Amino acid sequence: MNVLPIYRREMKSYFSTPLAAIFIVIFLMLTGIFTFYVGGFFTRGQSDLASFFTWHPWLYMILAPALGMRLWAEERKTGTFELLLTLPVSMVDAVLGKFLAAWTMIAVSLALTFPMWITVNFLGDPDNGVILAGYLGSLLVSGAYLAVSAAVSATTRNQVIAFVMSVVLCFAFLLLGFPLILDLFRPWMPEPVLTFMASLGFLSHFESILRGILDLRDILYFATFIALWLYVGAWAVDQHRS
Amino acid sequence: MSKRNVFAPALLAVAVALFVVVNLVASPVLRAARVDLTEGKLHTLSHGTVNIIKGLELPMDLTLYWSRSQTRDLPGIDLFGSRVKELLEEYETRSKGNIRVAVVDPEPFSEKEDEAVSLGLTGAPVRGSRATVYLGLAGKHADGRTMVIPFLQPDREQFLEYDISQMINSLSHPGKVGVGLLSAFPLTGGPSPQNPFQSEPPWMITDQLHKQFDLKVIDEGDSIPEGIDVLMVVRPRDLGPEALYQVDQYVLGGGRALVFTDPVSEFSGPQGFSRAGTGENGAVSLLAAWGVKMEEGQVVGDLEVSQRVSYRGRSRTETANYLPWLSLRGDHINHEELFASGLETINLASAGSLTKAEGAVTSFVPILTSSSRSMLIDGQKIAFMPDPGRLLSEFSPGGKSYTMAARIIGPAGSAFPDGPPPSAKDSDGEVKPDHVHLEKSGGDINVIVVADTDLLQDQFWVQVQNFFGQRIALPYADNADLVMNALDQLGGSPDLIGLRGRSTVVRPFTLLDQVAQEAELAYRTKEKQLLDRLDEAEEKLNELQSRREDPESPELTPEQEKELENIRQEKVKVRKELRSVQYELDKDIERLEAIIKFANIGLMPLLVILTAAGGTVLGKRRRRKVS
Repeated sequence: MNVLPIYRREMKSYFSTPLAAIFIVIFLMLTGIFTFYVGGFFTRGQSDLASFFTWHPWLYMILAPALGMRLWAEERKTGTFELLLTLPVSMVDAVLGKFLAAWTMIAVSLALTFPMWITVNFLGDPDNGVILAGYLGSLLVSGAYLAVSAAVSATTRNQVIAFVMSVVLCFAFLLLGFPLILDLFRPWMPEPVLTFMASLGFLSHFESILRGILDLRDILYFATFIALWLYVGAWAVDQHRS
Repeated sequence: MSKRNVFAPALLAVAVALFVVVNLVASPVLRAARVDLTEGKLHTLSHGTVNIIKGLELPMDLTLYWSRSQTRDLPGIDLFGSRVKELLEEYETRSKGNIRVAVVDPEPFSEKEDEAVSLGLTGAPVRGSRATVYLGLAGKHADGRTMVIPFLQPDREQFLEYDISQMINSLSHPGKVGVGLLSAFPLTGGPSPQNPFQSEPPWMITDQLHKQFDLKVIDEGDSIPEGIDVLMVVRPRDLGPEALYQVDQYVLGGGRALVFTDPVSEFSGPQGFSRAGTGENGAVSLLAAWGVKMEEGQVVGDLEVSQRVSYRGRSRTETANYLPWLSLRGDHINHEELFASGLETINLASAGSLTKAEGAVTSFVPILTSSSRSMLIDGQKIAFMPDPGRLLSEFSPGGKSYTMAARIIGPAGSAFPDGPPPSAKDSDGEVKPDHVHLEKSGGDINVIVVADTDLLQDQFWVQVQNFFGQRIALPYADNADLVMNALDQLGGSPDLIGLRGRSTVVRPFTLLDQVAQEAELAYRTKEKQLLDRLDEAEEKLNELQSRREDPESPELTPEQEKELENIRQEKVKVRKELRSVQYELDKDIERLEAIIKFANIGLMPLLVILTAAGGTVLGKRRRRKVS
């Protein structure tokens, strides 16, 4: 395993350009605005972070593809793709390094929302265990979105296409389990398959974590989901290699 | 395996299949593998439940009727359904075979649906469809007894474990605690005070008591029946001496009692606010015999835990903290007492203050206490048309905390030292032959006294919803739990106690509440001064104008004219000040909210931008130096 060089190279590319700062600022402002103005933080009057976390899956739907779209598409456009493949790093290292660097970006942004945590502890007496679970769940959801976006990015050299495709796919996974999507399949799919499909949606797993339960099944779901899409990404990269 | 083979098209399919299989298999296998991060372990079976499950001697079947095929399109109910199913499976896992759980989907017009209906389950119609949705639980004990929860309300999710455990407990322990209810209020319903031909429904609290206890209603004048484990007495001051004598003797004879008394009751029943009864002195001496004193005619007002109410003010609807209505939480409930340990919120209305009587030998354990920012308010001020604003302006806390409920244990004497009251004797003046008068208790008496009866009224703790002819209780305070826990503990079946009260998980912004209270207090005082000035000015104005109507002096003197103008000016000024006072009322909170919003939306991005800009400048300088 030789993930570190790729990881470092990626992190450098974030922080040597305004990209990191812009992403973090937009993330922080959006989460803040959604929490207070859409989520009704003060009208709810409850010292928890429900109005904060509820919006995360929807925000990531846009923000994760924005980070993920450039992972491979940019390399191919600027021609560094071939260069990267000639380096003495394995495909797994390259895929993992890029993914982890992008995920770190989201983790940093998420960590910088700590004033929210201070706020609820200042205002009342929240259940900090539930808040911890919320942060973990949020991180897992972002990882899942990012893995999808990275895989899509590997299939095209056009970042805009990568972005739009990723958003649509993320949206689909977010909505899986809702009648909107299930009804499309209902006429020609057996019931157990539909039930299983419904359990593949992000939202039910995320909500279960938000309640304060770390269920091994939810964690396994996100872990395998991320692993699967990383593999799909690597597979797509490999297709363009030859 | 060569590198290329890892990415063969077939392997992509294998990866997807692997993902599907792992997640499919994981569902049933990893069911119990989870960490509950919530503070109160909300999602873990509590000790009470585990004890109940362990204590099962015979097996029972629990069947969940869940219209899964119908609820699939209703994410809310569907999620709740799976939560119920998982919880039941948790019961099954812990029971070592004594609880068998089955899940049945009563599809429309199927035999299973008929079965569900015949068991007594209630279906809920689905909007835009003819189908009915079932989500109910039927329990069947090995000895053939059955019990049903007709519909599990998603709104009652916090009480889910309690509801299920209660059902299991009742199935396995058919004998219920016997509770005798001796009440001066019509807790069990009765003729309406407005229209004697109509009847009022029973108070929700009796519904709850019926569910859990073998409730026997004792009419005033009847003797306390046999087979009662605990006696509940409501408003003894409205009970006659014979009834009080019975309570006295019952308690001295080792009987345990839960007593609700009240300096002022907000219940306007057939008796009106307060019936000047012979019982008034009787109730006082009854409490005195137990070593308890209640401040007569005085209610506890507490700014810190008071509830906000809307009321008709001088010119418009206003909201204010109403001092006699208390919502007790946290430190104000004695969580060291077993029966109060799980209670989160108790609402009281015009409660009295209890103290240990001088020279009492019984121990006095406070259960509900006010904050130190409280005072005693004259009951007359709140009996008719209370004015919350005025109460606030007159508020001057004494720095003393008051006790509103207490547990009494110890030896006690009779409140009837001269023997039974005359009416309890035969016409010859002799004590009824089958009764031996007790002058003092044989052992320790065991009584819980609550200085409020209003907490039993529906309006202070529960929202009642009519759900297809059934009355569904949606409690927002733990008042019923307090009553039932106390009866349970006194009656001696503590199994279910740990379960209750994990109920309402309300975590308010305590700081904002505090700021609001401070602001309110400061401004109400000011408002009162201004209103007094306004009244004064108006009085003067009236006086002047009445003088003008005097036929002998139709015209005002220039001096009077000037005074009139002054008063008018004063009135305008006071009005203006009053408006700004009203405006100021919310300002502190708005300011705090604005600061918090800025800190969370703007501050961190600003710092990030500054850091990034600083980094760029430094980087450029370094590069320049290098070159």
